Amino acid sequence: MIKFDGVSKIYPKNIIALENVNLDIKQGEFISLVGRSGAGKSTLLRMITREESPSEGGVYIEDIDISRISSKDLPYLRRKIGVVFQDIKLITSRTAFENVAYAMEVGGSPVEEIEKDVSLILDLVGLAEKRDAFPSELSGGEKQRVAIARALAHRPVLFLADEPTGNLDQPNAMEIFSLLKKINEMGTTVILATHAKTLVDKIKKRVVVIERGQVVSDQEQGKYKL
Amino acid sequence: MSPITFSRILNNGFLNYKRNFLLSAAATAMMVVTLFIISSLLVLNVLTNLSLASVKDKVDVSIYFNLGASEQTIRQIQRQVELIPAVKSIAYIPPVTAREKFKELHKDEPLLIESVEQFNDSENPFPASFAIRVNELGDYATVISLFQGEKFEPFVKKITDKRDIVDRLNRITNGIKNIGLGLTLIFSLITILVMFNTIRLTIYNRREEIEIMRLVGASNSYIKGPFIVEGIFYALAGAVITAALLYPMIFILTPKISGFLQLPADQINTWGLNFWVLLALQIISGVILAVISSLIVVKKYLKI
Repeated sequence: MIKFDGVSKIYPKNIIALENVNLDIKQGEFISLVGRSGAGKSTLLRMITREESPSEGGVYIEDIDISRISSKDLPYLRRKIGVVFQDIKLITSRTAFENVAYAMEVGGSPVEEIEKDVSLILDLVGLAEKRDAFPSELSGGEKQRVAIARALAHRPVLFLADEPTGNLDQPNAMEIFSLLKKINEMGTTVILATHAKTLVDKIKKRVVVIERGQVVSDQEQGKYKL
Repeated sequence: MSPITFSRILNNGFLNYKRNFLLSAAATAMMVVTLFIISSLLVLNVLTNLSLASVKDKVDVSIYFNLGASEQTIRQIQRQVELIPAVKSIAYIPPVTAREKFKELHKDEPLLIESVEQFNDSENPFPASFAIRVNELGDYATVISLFQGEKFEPFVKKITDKRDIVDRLNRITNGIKNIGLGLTLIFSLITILVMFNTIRLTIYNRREEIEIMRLVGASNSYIKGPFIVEGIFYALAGAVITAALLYPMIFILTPKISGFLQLPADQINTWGLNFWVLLALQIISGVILAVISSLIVVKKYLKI
């Protein structure tokens, strides 16, 4: 489904973020990307959404070189990909419901469809009760679940999570992990960049280790090791 | 673009305008100043054209004939001159009429009247003359050179030419127009810069929301549109305020200006500039400025 073919990313002043990364990700997989801070995990994820472009090599989704997608068509690619971050990025002036609805608004969905779908998604992430709460009234875990709900609004085929549990305590992190697993079980490919060793080890899925911009280990049912 | 997306873009643009009220007020005020200058220039242009036209209408060239020139000769010359296409009208003023005009003009000066009346008709010292008007100012030279030519010159005593008045008026109005144009350019530039900065700040204030928009797959026009709409709101608000300020001023000043320029009141009233035309022109020029500046900002600061 996704293929990194000899991808390197070199920033000015010769700072190497990724070096000759080759990676094949199959439809429906759950992959944990692990590595120290600054190892290149986020850069790798940002290449999939084409927020970054490779200096060398190519990133392919369904055999399409995404660097060839015109900026006009880029939003359509991004609507196929759900993304969540450690710093959550909710609009503080909008309620949980409105934050999720926002994703559908930009895609031009009509009001009735938004009302129906957002309620369903909030129910899926266990926040049906909190639909009218503002981000400031939600706990860290709840905020992250709103962000996940928002990322699910377009029914993405690929879900990217960049340290989604970084600011959460263990029980909340556990809940987010379960939610990601649930999303994966529903057929969505999940790529998770994380530091949460216990959780990675617990779910027993494919683990890719990145060090200094290079893939140093790639194991099915792997463990978190640095 | 679907109607619902379009209405969401408009709505977001309006929100941008509303949220930064103080900044928006500054940008709108700048827009008002510029539009005010542009509209004043327009009004001035119409006024100077009207007054120039009215002055040009009054200007003529007078050809005075020698006393010896017979009426028959003068009438012959008149028939020849009438055939020239550039000539709009030619009026023959016989010595008798000239004397009457003189008496009318100096009716309060008995001494002058008395001295004129000493002459009988055959001794009338007033020469016969033509008052010639032409279609274009430039045509006067043709007419004058004709009377300076060897064919008519022996009969001509004097030629008086009032073109220099028109020339002077032309120079003054051109000067005013140039200054106005210069001011328009300078203030347009300042407006573009102020709006540029305002919209840039809006982009900065909304950077997180823009990032989220990108993430959830908002199209380019959905992200950029509101900032262009925001600029257009400055133009609309600016145009309405300018019209609200300018029109009462025109209304109050019209009688004074028409008196000063000696223009017929009905001409001033129409001016070719009614309220809606003026408002439409302000909106168009405002929107052009707004779109230029917001397009530059969006291109420079909004990476999709």
